[in-house]
Amino acid sequence: MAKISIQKKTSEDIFEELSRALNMADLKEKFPVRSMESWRRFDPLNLVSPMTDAVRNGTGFSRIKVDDKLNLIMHGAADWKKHDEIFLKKSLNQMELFKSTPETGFFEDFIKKSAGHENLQILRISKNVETLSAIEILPENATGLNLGIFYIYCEEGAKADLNIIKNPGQFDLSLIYIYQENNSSLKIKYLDENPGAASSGVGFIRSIQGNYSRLEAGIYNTSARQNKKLFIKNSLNEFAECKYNGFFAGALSHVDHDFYIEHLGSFSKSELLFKMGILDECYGIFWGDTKIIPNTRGCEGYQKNKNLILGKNARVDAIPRLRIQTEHVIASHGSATGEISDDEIFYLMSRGLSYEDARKLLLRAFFEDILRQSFGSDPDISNLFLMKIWNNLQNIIGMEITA
Amino acid sequence: MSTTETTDIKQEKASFEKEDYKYGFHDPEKFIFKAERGLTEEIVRNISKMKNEPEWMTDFRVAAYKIFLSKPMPNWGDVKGLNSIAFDNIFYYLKSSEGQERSWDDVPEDIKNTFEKLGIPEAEQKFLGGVTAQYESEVVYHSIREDLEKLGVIFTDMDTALREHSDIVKKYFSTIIPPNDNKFAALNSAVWSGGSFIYVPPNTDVAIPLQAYFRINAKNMGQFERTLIIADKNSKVHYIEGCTAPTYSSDSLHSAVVELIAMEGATIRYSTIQNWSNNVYNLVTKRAIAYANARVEWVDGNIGSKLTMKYPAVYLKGEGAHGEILSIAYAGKGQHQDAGAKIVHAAPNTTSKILSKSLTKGGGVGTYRGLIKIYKGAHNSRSNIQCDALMLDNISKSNTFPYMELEEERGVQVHHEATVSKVDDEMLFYLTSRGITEDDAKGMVINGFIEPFTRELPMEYAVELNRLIQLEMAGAVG
Repeated sequence: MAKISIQKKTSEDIFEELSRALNMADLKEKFPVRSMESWRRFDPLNLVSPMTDAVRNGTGFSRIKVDDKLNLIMHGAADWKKHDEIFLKKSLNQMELFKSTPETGFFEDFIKKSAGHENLQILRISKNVETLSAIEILPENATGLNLGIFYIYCEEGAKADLNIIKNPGQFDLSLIYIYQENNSSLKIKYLDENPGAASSGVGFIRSIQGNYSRLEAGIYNTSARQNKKLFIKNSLNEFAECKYNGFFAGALSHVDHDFYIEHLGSFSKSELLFKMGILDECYGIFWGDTKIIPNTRGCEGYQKNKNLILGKNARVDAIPRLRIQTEHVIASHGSATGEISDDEIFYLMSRGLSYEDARKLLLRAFFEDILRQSFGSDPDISNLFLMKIWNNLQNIIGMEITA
Repeated sequence: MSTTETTDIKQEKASFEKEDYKYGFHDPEKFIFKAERGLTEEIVRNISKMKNEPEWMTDFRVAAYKIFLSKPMPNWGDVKGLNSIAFDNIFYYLKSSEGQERSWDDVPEDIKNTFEKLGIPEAEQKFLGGVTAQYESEVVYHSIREDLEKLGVIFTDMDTALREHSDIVKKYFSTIIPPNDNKFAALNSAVWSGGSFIYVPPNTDVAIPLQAYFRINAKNMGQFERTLIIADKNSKVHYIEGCTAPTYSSDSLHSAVVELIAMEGATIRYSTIQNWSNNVYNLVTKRAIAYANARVEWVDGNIGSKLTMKYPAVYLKGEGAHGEILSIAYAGKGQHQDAGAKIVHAAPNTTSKILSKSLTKGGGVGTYRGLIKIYKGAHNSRSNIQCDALMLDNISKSNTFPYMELEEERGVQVHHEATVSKVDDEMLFYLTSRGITEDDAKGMVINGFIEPFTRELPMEYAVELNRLIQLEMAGAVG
């Protein structure tokens, strides 16, 4: 297994090495810089060194596997070419709609170029198909460089429930594209787990939603040691709805979450609830950006962010932004950051709990609130995905799961 | 709102629509000294020489000029607007009459006319603490009520302060906002002229607000006033500044620096209403330091200007200090109000509150940009931020960019809330069902929206602000 280099080199050396490894002469000019708004809280130079190591020692794209149930078809691009070339062409055309921005462009273009067709996996959820239970999508191997594009193409009227577990390995450069046609409905739960070793990377989850489509996404990050930038971008067309809820629990991580929701059509609705539990020496960043473009009507955008600071050297930045360019809207955001309330601790202790138990119970409640919204108020204890989240949380926070 | 009042407002609106800008008159320029356009080290030295300044100030100006040249333009906010400022096309110093006028009778007639048109009555000085009326770059009229002098309060213009109280000025000048803070602070430091200086001795309560009026009159003339307020231990002062400028076709630049120092237990309230005409770039650096148990309040109204970038700041450096920023911004056609607030908690048990209201209409852009920073060790710090935006048509834009950076875990509470909406149909329905016309109902809703701000202003300012908002709203509210 390759190790992440912690050797202090000058940025010039690192760049030179990376340019050689990637065979890109103009790498330094294209590489994002800290003066860009998105990179101010996460130095892109942090990514150069692990990227160099990963390229040198990497084992390639960690393929993902999916149970071949119902009419969900998952193939690599090469197989799609044999299987259904028309669909491949159509989906590649749609993929052009996901335009990159100057701030994220370097990595997006790099992933697209390097992954090529070999590391492009397309999941097709056929027209009017409805899945009965959640489909598990798991990483096949997760060592070394984790590079690739996972493209979810949800056709008209389809309804699906996907659980994606992502083990980022040492270095993660991945793109998840979600394209939803009109009237489709998608439930996605995405777990970025990292049980032991340190990892770093840039991740993208980008979706375009057609008219009357619906997306419910749960984003859970339970990495103990991670150095990561996560970009989530969603574009909503008319009457489309999206609901994001998620959390980040970290102890020694530095994770920058960028949520960018763009209302392109009238009467579209977005809801975003994100919580961060920041322990020990963790640095957690929430950046929410809701944009409603001119000449739309009746759009609704809500953002809510709650953070608990639990470590002596912990640090939280919360930036919930709104950019509203039309009048007929309802848009709001709220953000609250603090420590666990003394009153709540006192209440529980007066009922016989020890300080530690009271603290754990309140922490559990803080995260469970999010999970209940995704898994229902009476979650199935046999749900492996949920159990995995609980186990990871337990490792980080030291919380016990009791029935 | 009574019917007569409404008719009055409508008439005023009609006249407002005819003219380009209500206060858009200007007097013929009459100068004793006029610097050349643009800025060189020689001009900076000349400004200092003209003012007979001590050597340390000349050196300070020259050093600041060098910083100004080396500092890059900010790459955020209205970048296009900032880059369009032609620094070489601005007069950096003008002196419209020689020396300082001591009594009202000595003030030149044309200057008096300007103030009269603006509605600053002579009688006002009898009610208010003192009027420092800044006309162009030099203070021409200045009066302090006798009882203030008895209290030991110094209320004068910066240039006089530099001559007469140089020890205090030298001690505090530029300690809060050094020239290398940003490009515009450096520019101001190099060419500053005029502004107010207030020193309140310990345990003194200045019961009446101190006021100053600022005017820009000449074409392409930047106004770079420098204000320094020091409230010594357990003292209390309220300073009010109001601005209005005539309309010109080419752009004017206003780049002030305001420094407030609130010593232990002191209270400073700084109220501003700016109504620059819609071709002025208003790029102001305002910052306050609050020591233990001190209290600093910024009350900030931004109605005019082409581009305003102004973020009043409070650095809470002593335990138990409190900072409060109340602001309102109106952005009409072609305007960009990029206003906000910044509070830095650098001591334990500090508290802060931000309330920001913005109104946008006719394609204007209203931006709230704020920062709350809680440093490590500032335990039990609490902050509450609320920003509301009201949009009056579908071509305007409203942005909210709040930044919260927290490095302390013990007892820290930060809450932020923001809403963006239009005038609520249900409110309009309720009011119209009670016999009020739709226009009046809209006016009432807007006045209600800004009420938390206007109630913090002295009476005459609140009335003036309501009137200004209603004039600006012509079309949306009638």
